[in-house]
Amino acid sequence: MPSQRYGTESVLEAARRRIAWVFDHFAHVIVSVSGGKDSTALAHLAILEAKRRGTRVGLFFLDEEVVYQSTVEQVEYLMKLEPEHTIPMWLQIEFRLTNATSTTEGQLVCWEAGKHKLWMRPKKSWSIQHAPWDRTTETVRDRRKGFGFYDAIENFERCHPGTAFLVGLRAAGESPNRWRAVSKNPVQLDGERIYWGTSKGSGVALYPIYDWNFHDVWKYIAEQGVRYSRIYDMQFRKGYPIHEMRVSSLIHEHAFKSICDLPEFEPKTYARLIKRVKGIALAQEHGRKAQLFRATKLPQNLSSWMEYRDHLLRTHPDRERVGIFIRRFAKQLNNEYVARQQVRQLVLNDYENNINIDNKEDPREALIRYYDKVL
Amino acid sequence: MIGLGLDTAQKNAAVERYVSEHEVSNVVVFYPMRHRIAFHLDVPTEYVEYEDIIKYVFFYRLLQEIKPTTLLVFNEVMRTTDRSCLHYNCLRNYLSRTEHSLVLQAFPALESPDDFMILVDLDTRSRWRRSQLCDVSEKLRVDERVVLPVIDQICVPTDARLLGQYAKQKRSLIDSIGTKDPHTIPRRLHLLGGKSKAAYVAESGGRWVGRNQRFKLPCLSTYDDATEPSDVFEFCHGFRKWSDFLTTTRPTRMRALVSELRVDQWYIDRANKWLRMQQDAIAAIRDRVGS
Repeated sequence: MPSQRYGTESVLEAARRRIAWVFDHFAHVIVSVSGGKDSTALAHLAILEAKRRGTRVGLFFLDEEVVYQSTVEQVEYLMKLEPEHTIPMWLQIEFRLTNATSTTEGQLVCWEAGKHKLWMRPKKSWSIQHAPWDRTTETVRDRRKGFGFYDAIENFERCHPGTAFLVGLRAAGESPNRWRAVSKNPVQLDGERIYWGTSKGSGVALYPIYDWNFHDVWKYIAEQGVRYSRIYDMQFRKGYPIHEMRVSSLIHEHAFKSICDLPEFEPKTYARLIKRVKGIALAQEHGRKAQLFRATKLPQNLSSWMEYRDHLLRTHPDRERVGIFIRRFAKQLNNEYVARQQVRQLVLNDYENNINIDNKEDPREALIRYYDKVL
Repeated sequence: MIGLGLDTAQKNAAVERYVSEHEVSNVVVFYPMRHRIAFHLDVPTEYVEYEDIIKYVFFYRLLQEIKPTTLLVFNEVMRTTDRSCLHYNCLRNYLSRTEHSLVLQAFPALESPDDFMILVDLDTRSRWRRSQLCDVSEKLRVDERVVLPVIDQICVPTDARLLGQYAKQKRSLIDSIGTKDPHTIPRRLHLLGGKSKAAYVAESGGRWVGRNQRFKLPCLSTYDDATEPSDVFEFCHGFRKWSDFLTTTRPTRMRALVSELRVDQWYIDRANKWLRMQQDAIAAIRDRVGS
């Protein structure tokens, strides 16, 4: 297991040193921004370094369309912060996004051509509105799912060879999986082995703030007086736990709960979203209820999670996609504990397997066996 | 400052002393319904019930009204072991408005010694938010006066018929558990020995505490109602209820009825284990208490 050790250098000094190293070794540097606190801190650090050197840094934002208005404003703020030292790369192209709120409309085509009257907002006049890569060599991870979020990122990165992409990924205080993602493919450059980055074809993804924790990010933002998304303030006031304070897409499997508070946080965004995407009203009303999206309580007429799962598989409206679930579930254990998680994937339309399933023996069964033994 | 194991008079004295020694303009007291408390203070005092902590009508008003001279008193607010629960988050928000706070709790933990960190979070304004008790390197401000009760076991004879019934019911519960909570098994089995215990209680007198009033005995009260030291007729399953009972009644020594059913022995062993866990927590806290 990786462990943290305190050194003599602060995480801020280390991040500045790493970013300077990146500028020393790469002619082109692009920061991926999402409008969240981590990418805000990283982009600010990179912009300051670019300014110090009298050069420019690219700011890349893949616009998912269904995001908070505050996110849009935050990204715009970053891109206009030091216009002489930044290259705005606001990508507003058509791609597919998982819609966890509806089983009949399992995907949303962001910025879909011909539906511009329904778009959450008009495209920016200065954004990149057509795929900047060669469409004949475009890669798609899974043809059945179509051209998705990660495909857009991968193709964008591929059309910038030899460029360092800075990502605000943090591993400190997060899961071991996150740590593994950061360190599994270290970058080899000039005889140096960089553990805070991964090679990606001819380019590299680097994580200069990988050792920052939640508090380091907020400390930096406060001390530097950097503006941040106001959604965090609203979530903080409402008592959101740290892991639920997120500003990403509003409709994917991890974020659907944000729809519950959206009418209160951003009523105009909610009003537009409800017209744009199917299932939003349902998610807003039932997002926190145990029986539906959270799948923590069985519906009344079903006696087990396995029965519920089988019922959903039988009646799923998208027969093409249900095959993905059937094939995946066949490789997993068949018990109540796993079945409940499978139900959750089905209800949230998580055909991409983004919500990990803890494929292990049912802990309830272990507890029942324990009681059988001791009582 | 964290006050552990203080009785009502000591809590009153602690709050009065704090108010007289500091420039406090008003006091806000947070308390759960089971531990309602009234302080006799010269400054305006507002009482906020635990369930109201997270309500908008209180939350946003209190955020506006709590001033740097407001004293926040947290009386027995440790109600769950989830350190990030919404109630604690809201309390931390209230704390951001003032430097004055007093944390009063009877026992340092609910289920494990690390539960004490919930109180430390309140006292230190989350300086040790992601840490465990063993990681805390600074001296804590704790006034520790916890008195743990001793439980004496009283054996109640059990006939063979009841033992047979017990075995049958245990099998039936396990076989039909379905998606129900597995803790139902000991909960239900523990009730079986009630009749033989009721006969003992009717003869011996005294004050007793049990799960419910199914035997309609005047000397038997429930865990929710008990206000004076009582002996244990049967144990409750949840530690919060158990802790509430001990907090309210403050016994130093108590008797517990134990039949020959295995579940009864399991419950008393569990209660003793809980008391040992409290001792461990107190020992760990004493190591970290500063002057």
